[in-house]
Amino acid sequence: MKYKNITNKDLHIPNVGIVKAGEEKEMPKGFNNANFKLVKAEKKEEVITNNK
Amino acid sequence: MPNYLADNSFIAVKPQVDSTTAIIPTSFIPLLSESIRVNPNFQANRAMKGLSWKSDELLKGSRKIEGDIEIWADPDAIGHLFNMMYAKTSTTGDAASGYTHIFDPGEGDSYSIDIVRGIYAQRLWGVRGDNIKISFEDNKMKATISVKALGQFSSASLAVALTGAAMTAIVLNTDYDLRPTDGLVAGDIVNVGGVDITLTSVNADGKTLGFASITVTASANDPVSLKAQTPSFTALQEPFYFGGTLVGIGADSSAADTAAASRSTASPCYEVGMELMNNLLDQPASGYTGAGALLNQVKSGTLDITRLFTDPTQFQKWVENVKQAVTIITTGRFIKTDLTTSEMLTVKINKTKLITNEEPLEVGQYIMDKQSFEMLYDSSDADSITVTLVNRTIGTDY
Repeated sequence: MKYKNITNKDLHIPNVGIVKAGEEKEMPKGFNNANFKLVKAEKKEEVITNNK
Repeated sequence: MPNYLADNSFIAVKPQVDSTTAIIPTSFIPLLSESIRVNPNFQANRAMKGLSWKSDELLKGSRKIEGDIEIWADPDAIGHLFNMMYAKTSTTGDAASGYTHIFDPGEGDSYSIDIVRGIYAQRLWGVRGDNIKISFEDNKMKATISVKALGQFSSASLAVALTGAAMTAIVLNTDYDLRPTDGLVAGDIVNVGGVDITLTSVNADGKTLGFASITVTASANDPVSLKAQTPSFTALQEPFYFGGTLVGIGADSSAADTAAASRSTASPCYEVGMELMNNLLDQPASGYTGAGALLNQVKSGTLDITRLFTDPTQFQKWVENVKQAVTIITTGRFIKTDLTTSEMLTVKINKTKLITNEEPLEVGQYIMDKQSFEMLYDSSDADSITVTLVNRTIGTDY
């Protein structure tokens, strides 16, 4: 799952590395940190074309 | 069953908006040790009931939550400890030059602190600093703060079973406290029945937690624990060092400041340590199993210095009860890239007097002045102590 660093600081996550301020990064399962927000996957809109 | 090494632990801290409203901590601090304990003060029930054995039950007494947190005193982390002890009166500066925070002996902020113990976290709330000790260990500055807390949440138990699909609430047992959910806030993750649940609400009844519909099965009395956060650290600072510390001693605070300004005028010391006390009172209050508030009592402080004996001046100042002002400046790494500003901790003590000044004689040893000062209120300066910290932490963090 992808999380965004919502602080204005670069943060070092043990076993992950440095996540820059505002950066989104894939985090390991079970990740839980109040300085990060889960990035919800955008729903892909299905475009229906009616080609007659 | 898995086991857990303490090295994976840490603490996370954040000031609360008031003494009773917990908050999810966001500043993570590496830990040397901690000894905070919840003491329900259980005692054997000594009521007479026809037994020839001492008791058949334990009863709860007045609960206390207190203990020590020990860290290397890096410029950012130590700001939180002083903010728990004293009132921050101002922050000036900016990211490029560093922020200057001034702490005076008013009422410090109440904190929420998460202490990670293996897979769960213990959330202490309403935490205040009772006393802080600053010392040096092999050149590194170490800070040990003794704290008291109004409450904690770590693990509780289910009062009502969770039966599978579409669960939206948990009700906790009230055996530990009539308000077992105090300390939890929306956004926390609790684990129950092996499932992580993100809380969306903490009910005002003090025992019910709400969350989005989820499938979870657990029996009554199963544990509900607070999930530990994954730590995140800003660029880790080095602690302040004894090698960067200058001790200025003078007849008044102005002279002490001048003396502390350079190595040539500062007093060379063998050892320096201090303890600042808030002497908090655990106020008993109806409606609370433990303290209802942590109240300031008179503040005090002691300063211990050991230095090579050179002349009997300090002996004379001791026996004649002479005022001395002390300014201790510890400089850390540079902040501004042109090296014009640095991390700095300045402890300015307006008035001290010597409680003891020993000059013990031991074969083969240099004679030392082993001094213990009482920090006093200075009527002429109308001040007792001021702590000034320059670091990289923005003022809104304290």
